[in-house]
Amino acid sequence: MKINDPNEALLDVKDLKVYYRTRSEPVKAVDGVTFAVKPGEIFSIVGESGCGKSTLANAIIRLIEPPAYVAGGEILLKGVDLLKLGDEGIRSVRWKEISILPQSAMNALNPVMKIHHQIKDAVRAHARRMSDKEIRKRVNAMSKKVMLPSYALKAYPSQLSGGMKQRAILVQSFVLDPGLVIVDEPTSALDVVTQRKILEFLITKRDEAGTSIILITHDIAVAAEVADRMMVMYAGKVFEVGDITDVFDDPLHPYTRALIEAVPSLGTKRDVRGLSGLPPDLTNPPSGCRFHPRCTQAGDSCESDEPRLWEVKQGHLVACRRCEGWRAE
Amino acid sequence: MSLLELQNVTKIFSVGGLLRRRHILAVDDISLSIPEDRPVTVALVGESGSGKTTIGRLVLAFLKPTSGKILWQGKDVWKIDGKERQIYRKNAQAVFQDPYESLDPTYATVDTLMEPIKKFKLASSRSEAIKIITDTIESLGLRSDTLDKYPHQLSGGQKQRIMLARAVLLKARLIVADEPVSMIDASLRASILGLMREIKENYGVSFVYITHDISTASILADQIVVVYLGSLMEFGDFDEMVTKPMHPYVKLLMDSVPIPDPKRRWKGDVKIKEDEGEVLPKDLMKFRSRCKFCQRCGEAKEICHEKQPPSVDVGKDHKVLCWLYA
Amino acid sequence: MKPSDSISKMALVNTIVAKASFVRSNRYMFAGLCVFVGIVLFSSMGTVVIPYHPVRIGNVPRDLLPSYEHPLGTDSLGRDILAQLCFGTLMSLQVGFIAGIVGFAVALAVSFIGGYRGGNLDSGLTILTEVFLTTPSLVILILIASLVRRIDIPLMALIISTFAWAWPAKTMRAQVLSLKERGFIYLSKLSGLNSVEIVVKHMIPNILPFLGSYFAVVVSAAILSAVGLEVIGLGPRDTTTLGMIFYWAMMHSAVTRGLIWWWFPPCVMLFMIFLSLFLVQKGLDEIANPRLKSR
Repeated sequence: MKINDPNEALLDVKDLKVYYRTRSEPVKAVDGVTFAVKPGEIFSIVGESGCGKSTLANAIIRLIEPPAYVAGGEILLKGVDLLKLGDEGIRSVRWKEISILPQSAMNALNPVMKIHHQIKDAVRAHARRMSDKEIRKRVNAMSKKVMLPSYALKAYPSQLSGGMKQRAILVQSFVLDPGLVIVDEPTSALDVVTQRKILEFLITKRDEAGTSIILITHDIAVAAEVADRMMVMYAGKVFEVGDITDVFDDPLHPYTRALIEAVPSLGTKRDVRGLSGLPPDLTNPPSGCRFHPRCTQAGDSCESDEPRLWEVKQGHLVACRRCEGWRAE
Repeated sequence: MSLLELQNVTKIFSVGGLLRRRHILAVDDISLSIPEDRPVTVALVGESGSGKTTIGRLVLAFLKPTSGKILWQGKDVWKIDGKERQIYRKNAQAVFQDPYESLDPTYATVDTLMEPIKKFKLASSRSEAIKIITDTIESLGLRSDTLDKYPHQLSGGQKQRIMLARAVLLKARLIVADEPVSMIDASLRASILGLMREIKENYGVSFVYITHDISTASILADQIVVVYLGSLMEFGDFDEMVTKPMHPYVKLLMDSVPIPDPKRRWKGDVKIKEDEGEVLPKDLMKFRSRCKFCQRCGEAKEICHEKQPPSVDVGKDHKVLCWLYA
Repeated sequence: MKPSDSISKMALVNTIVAKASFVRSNRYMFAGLCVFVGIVLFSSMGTVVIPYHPVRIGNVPRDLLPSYEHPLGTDSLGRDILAQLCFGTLMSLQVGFIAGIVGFAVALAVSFIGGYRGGNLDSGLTILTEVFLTTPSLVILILIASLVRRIDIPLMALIISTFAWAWPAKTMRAQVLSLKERGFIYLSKLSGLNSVEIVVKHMIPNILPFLGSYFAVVVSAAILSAVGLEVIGLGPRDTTTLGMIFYWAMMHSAVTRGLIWWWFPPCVMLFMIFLSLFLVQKGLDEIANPRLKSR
């Protein structure tokens, strides 16, 4: 079922809250996140460790476990609220409509099972009626696309390099051709060449099959290379979201600007600048804007009032007290 | 004379028990040198399995080379002992990748830093030692109250600074930094990398900066050495190699580094042959008589599969090991 | 006050506070220690306070029922049972601890030398450990014990320790192997420390809770082995232990005669000892690896 209107969202997340229960205050890992992903686009969620992006990813596909729990919000996939589905319902959706490639998935491969066996198992669990032949056909076709050699499919994980294992997992996540795939740090342990191959595969998927991809990464340069739109997260909150060129041309949030300036760029002799301080404690986050203790441009109201997401320009939103109420042409 | 020199160093690991031995070729005939007269940062770049970490361990004499020599100020580190060994030990220090594993959890910062001072007799009394320690950590951006804290009370960045402080208070002449910032958030990397650059400039310390991420190397490196599957591919001045890479693999690397600018995206297809498969390090012993990159190289000729390429001069201190230029 | 003084004082205060709260930090360990200390105190006081000799035959009338003078009655050899219980507990604990310490020391040596050095030495020591581990120890112990003329507590402990070292050696070697690769061990090498210093100053402090846990296991196993030998008559006859009380009870058909105050108390005492050691071991396990905590 494809959405005909290109502007209608494929995934609509509204005010999602995911907390972790602890003995004292709950850890507010995702605290009121709102965003939408269109069909046929690569949407990148960028943030550093502890910002909540992985929790968000797992929450969308309903894979969070206690002590984590959803404390509020809606996750609408083609209009259906995934949070309200029962176990059977979510299982029918998973892998066929929406799938996830978790962080370090390649390390979670079963060491005593051959690769093609594992992929078959995973596919079988979500598409019980598919024949062995059909599965093998799809797996082979997809392996060619990611340039995974045929001997790798018949091998055990320990016999493969990191790049090959990651591509095997990629096949596993994409083989049922879901409309939306969440990839969480797919290339963080890999060399740049393999990284490029994998990222280009994601682009191919978007172009040829119209798959939407949520690419979660801590590396803003990776987002710059492949994403259509980008969202910046910090301490469980969304700080900025918009078209990739808009955000890079004109980073509205001081944190976004810091992230861009922190990445050295080969070939340009630009000095990098970092941030001082540390990410906040999520059991007791700073009052008002969570970034204000580290922000060089913090104003008086930043400590008392929490900023809301404000649309400065068509499609470009930012949560910053300085930008609230401001509209650009 | 050079400060540190690797002469045709090869390292082969034998794995398996008494009954089933396998050989893994980790480092194959590598020669490198760091000059004595000025501090230099050499970026040692390669993917996982390239042997770069093994080279780091060989430099620090944690591993003995299977063949070839490791020379410190002209002397073979495995043949010296006593006072000369002490000097080498003191002067070659390290910073490791994982700050959470690098400090003894049962030692407070002051104890961790006291140990090398005591061992190398750098202070004549405890109070003098504490003064040296306090001065050093403050000059590296840490507050003195860090001293009585335990590792679990410190952040990753603080722990990396403590490791750097260790090397600085030993007045080391060489620091091997193995992926020192890869486990630290992007926004916090700049300060650690900048600190390393300051240490080089203020204290005259040379660095071997081991990484798979060329972008971070651009902040500090003077020279760059690229390795692949245990062999040298190309090495020389950093700026020159980044703008004019010669080796097909290095060209590929430089091309594939993601740039934080959506207007300058990757163009064209990555010229790399995948179907023949990547060679795993443990199978390398069979591939010694060919260029290690020939299986994946888009420009490979027949000779590449038959003989290892020689080292060719292509510029000032710039050498390439490739049949395309021989 | 010089900065060096205040820093040293802070570090010292930190250490003392840490050690004091350590004992109370884990409920299992604390409970186990309380029970164990209670057992030791009870038995020690008993041996001092009770006027009857626990070992000398016939120093009190035989087969007396429990009364005020003999709370657990007397046995068929004319000995006060409560006195035997207290003294026997201390003796059983002695066997356990001697065997435990000797076995543990051997295990430490084998695991650290093999694990740290690696290579063929390690392979050889591992094979040796496996052999001792898989050999049915009770059978061999019975064999050795039956060949010995006169057995006493230290000798029995020594015999038991010939097998007690194998399990901790294997387990500790695994710890050494993983510890060896940690960053701070390499940094210690760069600080100029030699192997012995690294093992003593950096490795052992980091696995202290593990070592404590293994030690509790070894002592437990040693006491059990001792009881095993004693109940079949291979124990020390010149003194009394918990196992020996039980042995003499069996020899005089205490069960069929219904003399529950003779054969039951040593069982209870043994159970309490094993329970307390188990709790200590579980507690130390949790301290060593906080992920094991069930909550």
